[in-house]
Amino acid sequence: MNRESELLKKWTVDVSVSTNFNAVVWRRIEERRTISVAEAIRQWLTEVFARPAVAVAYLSVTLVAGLAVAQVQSSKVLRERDSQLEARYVQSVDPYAIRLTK
Amino acid sequence: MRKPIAIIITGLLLAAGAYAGLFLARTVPSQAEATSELLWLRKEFSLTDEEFARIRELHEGYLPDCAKMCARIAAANRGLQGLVLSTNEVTPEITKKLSEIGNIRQECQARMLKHFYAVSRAMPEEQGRRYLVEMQKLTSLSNMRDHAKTESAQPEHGHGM
Repeated sequence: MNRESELLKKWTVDVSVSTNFNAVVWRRIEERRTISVAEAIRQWLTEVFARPAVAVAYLSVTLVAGLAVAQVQSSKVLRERDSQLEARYVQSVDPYAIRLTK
Repeated sequence: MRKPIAIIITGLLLAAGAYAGLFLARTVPSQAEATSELLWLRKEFSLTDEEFARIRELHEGYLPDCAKMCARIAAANRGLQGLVLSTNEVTPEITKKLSEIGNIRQECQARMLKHFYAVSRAMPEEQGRRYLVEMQKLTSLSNMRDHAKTESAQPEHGHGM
């Protein structure tokens, strides 16, 4: 522990820092603080979709969602069509059917 | 920024394309399906080509008979309407017309039932039974069942008791 302390005491930073470093940092912080919602979303999307896995997952989800909605809605349309065809068949064989269904 | 927007738009197009493709593939009927009520029978009762051909033949044979019955029913109804409006009490002519209408209905239902039995015999046994159940439920034959319900709910309303 003493050895690390001694090393830390001896350590000096020899990198030169620009004179306006603080000003630049504060400006960036200020920019980030005053960012609009749209800009925040844009930045978030850029970061998220930069990852290929996320992009692939998004495309897969949209594909499956499209198929699922089509499956549900087409099933409903087919049920309605079946029921219309059923009514048409009944009306074609039963002279009293029209009066009953009206 | 262009890349995320392109991905989002691609996703939306993919969803729309998948939706349209599957929806149309499942729901666009063929020309024959769009025009024939008999195809409901074929689908509902899983008929083979041979069974379907036989049932189509029976159906086409029955239709002229059915049309004649329809014409008789319409004529009898018109006759009754004329008689009802010509008086303000039940005349022997009205009673006779009501009886005639009842007879036509009975004859019509008997012919229809005969057709249903013929169709059911052209189907596999189990499907034939299901067809008869469905037809009794869906056609004017169901009147009898409805009345039976009324009878059980209101015993004092029972006929012939």
